[in-house]
Amino acid sequence: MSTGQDARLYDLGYRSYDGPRERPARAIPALAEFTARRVLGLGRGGRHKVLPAVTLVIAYLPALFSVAYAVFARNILPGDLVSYGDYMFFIGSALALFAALVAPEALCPDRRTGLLGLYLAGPLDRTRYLVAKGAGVLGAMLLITLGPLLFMLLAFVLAGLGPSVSATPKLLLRIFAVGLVTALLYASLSLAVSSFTSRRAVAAVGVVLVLFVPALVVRPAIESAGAPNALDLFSSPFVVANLAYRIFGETQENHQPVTHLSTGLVVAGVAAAIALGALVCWLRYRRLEAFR
Amino acid sequence: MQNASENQPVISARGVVKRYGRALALAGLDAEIGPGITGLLGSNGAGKTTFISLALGLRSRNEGELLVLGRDPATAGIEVRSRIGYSPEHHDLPAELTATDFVRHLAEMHLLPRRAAVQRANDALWLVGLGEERFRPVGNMSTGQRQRVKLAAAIAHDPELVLLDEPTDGLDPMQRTEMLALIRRIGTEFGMNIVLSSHHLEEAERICDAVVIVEGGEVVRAGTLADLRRGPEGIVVEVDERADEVASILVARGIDVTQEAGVLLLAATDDAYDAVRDAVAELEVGLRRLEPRGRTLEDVYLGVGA
Amino acid sequence: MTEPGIVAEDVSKWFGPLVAVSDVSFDVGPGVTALLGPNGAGKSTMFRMLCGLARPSKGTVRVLGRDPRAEPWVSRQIGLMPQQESVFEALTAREFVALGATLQGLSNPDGAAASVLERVGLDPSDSRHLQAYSKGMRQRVKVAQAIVHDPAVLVLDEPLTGLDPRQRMDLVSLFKSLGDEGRCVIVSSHVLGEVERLGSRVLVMSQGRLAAAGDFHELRALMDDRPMRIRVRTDKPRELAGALVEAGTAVGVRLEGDGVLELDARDARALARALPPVARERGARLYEVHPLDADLEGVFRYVVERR
Repeated sequence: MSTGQDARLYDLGYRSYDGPRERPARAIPALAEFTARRVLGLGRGGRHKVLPAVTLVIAYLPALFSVAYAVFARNILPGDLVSYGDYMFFIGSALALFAALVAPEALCPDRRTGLLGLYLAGPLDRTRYLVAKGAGVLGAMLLITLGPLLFMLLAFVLAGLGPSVSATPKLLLRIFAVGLVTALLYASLSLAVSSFTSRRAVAAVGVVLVLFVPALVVRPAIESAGAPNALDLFSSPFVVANLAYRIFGETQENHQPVTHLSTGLVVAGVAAAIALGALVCWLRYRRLEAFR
Repeated sequence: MQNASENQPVISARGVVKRYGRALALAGLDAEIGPGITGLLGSNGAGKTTFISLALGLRSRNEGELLVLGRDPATAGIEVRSRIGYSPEHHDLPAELTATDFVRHLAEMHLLPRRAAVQRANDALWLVGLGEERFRPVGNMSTGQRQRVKLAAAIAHDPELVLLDEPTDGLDPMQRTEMLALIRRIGTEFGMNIVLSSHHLEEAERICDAVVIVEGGEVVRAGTLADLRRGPEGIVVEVDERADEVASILVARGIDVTQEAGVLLLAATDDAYDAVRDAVAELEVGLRRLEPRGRTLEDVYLGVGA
Repeated sequence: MTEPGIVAEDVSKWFGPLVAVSDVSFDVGPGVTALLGPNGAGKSTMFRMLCGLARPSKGTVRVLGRDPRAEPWVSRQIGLMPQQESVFEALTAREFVALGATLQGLSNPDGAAASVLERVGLDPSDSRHLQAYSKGMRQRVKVAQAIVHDPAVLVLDEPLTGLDPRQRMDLVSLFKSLGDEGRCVIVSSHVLGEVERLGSRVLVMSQGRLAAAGDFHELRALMDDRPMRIRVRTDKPRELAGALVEAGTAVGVRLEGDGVLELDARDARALARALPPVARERGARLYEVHPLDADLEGVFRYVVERR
């Protein structure tokens, strides 16, 4: 910059950066946030918000109705509002649909464009990349697994059926547990399926197949063909609902008998599924040719 | 951006070996890529790509030592890559992202804080001449614009080393000249070290300070352009007509002349310069060209000459 | 060949409101001609019309005197090497080229494929699939396919991209020999250094129109509203510059330091003739004389920037 008496000429040339830089691990949350925003359609055209929004609405609707009911109706009995466990069962399809939208969107486009290669040419390796993507998808899934339950809590409270002050922390813990485990399970499985292809549409169909089809097949197989009950573990809506019932200590008459499988088995099954999904992703991406 | 020691090599390799199964991609590569702008040349399949992937820590080497910006990419890959900017050869960019979102995102991924990333993405895009187009989705951009987006993304986080892979691919001659001038500016004025991988020798000649030529998994020639092009001292002379007669006059004056493809070659002595001038003046023909006869990079590459 | 291989007359092509090619006329005879132009100038569209793959919106294209769209015979006389990757990965080189030969109706496709593969420097007995071939080898396979049916006209769109210098040299000499055989070879490329080696006939398109045609050396001479620039290094720069300006041979001069002069001359030939005697007269030693934009790049820039 050159200065005269009162005149100044400013240098518009290149400015080098001497400011602070983040630690390398910070790339993970940065990518996670970016992923979560993109899969929900934020920061993109309206077109991309439609499907996620519709699915979210489907998942929230019963809870929102419940809140309205709780506000306007009188003499509400405990059986009038949907229980948490049942709720998880009802929105099973919406969850699967949401996962089929979100996970492929998180993984597949990066492979189709050269973006994965560009990420790996920066302070990320494949493991960190997957952790970031997983976190992003998990964050988006929590929106649909946790939110509705919290609204149901609100409905219960408004109806005068809420928990006592001392019981509240425990209930909240259960809600978070169910929301988190469900989100983890769906995220892990849908990401695992998506890791097999670079085409979003193919991955979405694959996710739907993996999350839906067993549910259709398993029950008949157990009832008519006498297959072992443990097969129920492959039906994700069943598993999720089952876990929710157990965590909330509920019983359910019309649906799968809760006591058929021991709690330990269900928990082990869920944990195994989450771990397996993550492992599959990791193995798929280890072998991926991303450079050039 | 700081350069710890002005003369430390940016990349130094010693005896680097890389095998893919039984195929030997790098057969003991030695190189010191110093500060400044260095051209990485070599035939397809000679090992350049493999070398770049090793330098980025994307693959591990079988033998040898390799230091990039003072660290070993095999063990400190994450750290090394955070200090490098990379522009790949392909043009596959996420079509939906605007240029500014794309550059900002990659800058953040290279550990720039959010605000700094936004500002520097903006600056970088103006710098490469895409200021007005910066809100356009990358998918709607022409090849020339995409090349510039890639360049902006590579430099936005102010890296110490920039790797550019065929940055002029698909550009027409004028776009190419502009791009090369831009790269030269980045390497000189902005003080970033650049490694430019290219098939176009004249590009390397135009803007590189030094060159490394890789062939068969090894470095076969390396050095500054000045060193590499040093050849037999001499002058090349091109006249409009009567070249034979000019040659005869020179020979008569005791100067050794050879004729090759319509030009005259002679040794460079003070006497020779004046002799040429006088001979041409005497014959009243036009003097088109009088130049030192160095080797071109192509001669070096093809192994011609001493 | 009695008539020019390719004749385009007042050719225009538009896609709705987008005018890709506008009133272009030229003819191309035997030998190699380069089609140059900035990106977006209409070269690819022009190529497609030459091969009969697109119809001109206005004007006519004639190859060997016939309309390539109307007469299939003519398209058999044309060999096209398009820009994109277009090889079938699952075939061997020989199978791929033989397929092209079959499509062209050759009676001995396999034999033709073998001989043309040898011509481009590949091994016809190589049993590997094209998937295993490097970019340079694939380019050569594409060239082979373009010439297997011995076409009189060869249209090559960016044939040298992705090739290293040695591979480029090999293909350039192949193209030159094809041109020397009397074929009409028209090549588009951005790498002007290579184009210069192919020969000096050029067609330059810009903004959909034809901006220049002919031998580029002669084109440079025509560019008389722009003086030629010549760089001279001497031990007496000011005297030499002064003398040349005074004599009117140089119309402008820049003193660049270190004895370097950049002279502007309207008539480069006259300057070349005047320089030695004037230098001798002043006792100025000439260390270097070098024309600055007489090469293809200089011509190209001038032609394209003129508007």
